[in-house]
Amino acid sequence: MSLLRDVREFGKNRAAMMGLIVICTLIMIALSADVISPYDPTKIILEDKLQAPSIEHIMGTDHLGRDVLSRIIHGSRLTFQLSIIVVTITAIVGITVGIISGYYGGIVDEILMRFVDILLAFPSIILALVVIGALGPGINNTILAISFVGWLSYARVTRGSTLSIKEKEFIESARSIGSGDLYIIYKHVYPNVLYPNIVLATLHMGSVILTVAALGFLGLGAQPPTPEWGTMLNEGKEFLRMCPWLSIFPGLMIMITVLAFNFIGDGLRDALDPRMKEVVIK
Amino acid sequence: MLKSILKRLGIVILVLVGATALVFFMLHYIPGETPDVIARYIFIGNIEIEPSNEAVALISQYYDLDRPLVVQYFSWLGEALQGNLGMSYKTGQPVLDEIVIRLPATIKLAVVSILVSLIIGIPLGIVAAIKQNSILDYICSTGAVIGVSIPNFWLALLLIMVFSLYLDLTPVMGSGGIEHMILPSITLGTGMAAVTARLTRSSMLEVIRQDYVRTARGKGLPEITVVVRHAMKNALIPVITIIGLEMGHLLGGTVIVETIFAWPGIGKLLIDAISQRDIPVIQGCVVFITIMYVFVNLIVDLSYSIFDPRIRYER
Repeated sequence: MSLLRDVREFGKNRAAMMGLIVICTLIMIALSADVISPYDPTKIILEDKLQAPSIEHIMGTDHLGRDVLSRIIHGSRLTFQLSIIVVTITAIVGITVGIISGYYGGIVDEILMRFVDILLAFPSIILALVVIGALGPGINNTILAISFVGWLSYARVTRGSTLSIKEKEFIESARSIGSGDLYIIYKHVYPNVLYPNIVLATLHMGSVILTVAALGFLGLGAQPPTPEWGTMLNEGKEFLRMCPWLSIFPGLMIMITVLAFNFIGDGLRDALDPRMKEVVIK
Repeated sequence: MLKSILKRLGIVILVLVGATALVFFMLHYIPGETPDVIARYIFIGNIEIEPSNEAVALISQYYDLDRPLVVQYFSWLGEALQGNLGMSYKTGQPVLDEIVIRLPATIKLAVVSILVSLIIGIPLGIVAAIKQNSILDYICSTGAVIGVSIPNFWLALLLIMVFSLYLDLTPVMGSGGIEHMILPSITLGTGMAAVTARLTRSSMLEVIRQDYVRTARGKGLPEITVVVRHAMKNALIPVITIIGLEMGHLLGGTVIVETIFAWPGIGKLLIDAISQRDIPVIQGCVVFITIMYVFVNLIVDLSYSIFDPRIRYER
């Protein structure tokens, strides 16, 4: 029962378990945002603007009198939605490209990997900025921009694993009893490349959340009045001296969420794939 | 050696041609990139007003927009190789001039940030490795995860809040003296320091178990000599790659940090150009940043084989 052993191994990692609890809590908060948020996150009440944290407004109010806590709660929903969409798209594209490239090899591999090389020539956020520069700011373009670069690591990791699995004897025996390529890929290759990709996807969640917030902060992601954490920081930074709570809470939420995903990712890596231990994820 | 360098250089050139083509087609194959829209957006500043036919024709000719995209790309590439990256829509100035003016500021910030990351990261990594599994090691490792998880734009805001607004020690933004460098370089250096510490630690752990380190200990050398003279020398070789690995993080980070601190570098130019939809400037900045990134990585790869004679570049 190797799965059970892996789970037990993961459970022993205290930082990873803490990360898991934090993420589960945040997902619950995101799912019940409409019920638990004390105020409407976009309702403007100018009389209440720039209030310091108090009993009525635990995290204070912003320059338009909107409740910061409610905005953060709704922001968590948006953050999870965006990052899950991006990670799903990029993982599917990357794993598919990686398997095709590694399994079939030859000219297909050559072309796909040269394309990957070209995309890797850019610092990743710069390429995302090119996409935004071409299409304009906004949430949908943020998803496109981050996905455009995000699949590269999946493709590389999957290709590497596929190459080594392809040479194994069980693939040869599968082929000798007449299994087709698709069957072999589905039955033998895919399950074997899954583990490293799960680790990658967890760490990727963290970096996607950071990039989404960074684009929001630069004014190129979600546009006001959308309650997105990075966008909230961008709006709040004008009031840094007078109202520091506008800048502290959204940033704190970003850090806690990313930290939790990184702890889980590290824990999964140690439990599932000890060989990946020294891989430095950017 | 020379042959392998030339081969690498060939690949780099191919990648750069591909990368510039990608950026060019992405930025030009968009609905907004017509002379009519450029005239409305940039020159009139009002999307409602219709520009005259002569103006549209003039813009189309001046910015080379009236030919097929492929032809435009190769003519742009030819010009770019002679140092002409086109004209800014916004200012009408040559893009190259705008970039060259801002280049020193970005390089200065990048170099100081790398220094900050090495100064913080290397000692932490070494200490963590020597005292493996101690509470100190645990703190260093946790600190490293926090270092990569903290959003750099938020760190920048916190630093401004504490050091500029409350303690009044550093200027909030702008450039000039050394005091303007402090907060931006700490912001950029912290994330990198975390990665540096991780890598130094694992590489140090590997070296410490080698026979020659045991020999050095066995002949009775004091621990400090063993660590500094014998172990560290080899352990630090992989750390060189950090500079290459982190260059992407760094150049991406400068975009954000320069914007926050109003640091007059390429990153800020790029963000301003994106919000003004100044396509030639966006393109010039991206191409420039990409060239820097690719060449720094090339140099790091090659220097690696010089520092570590066990690896000679043969492929």
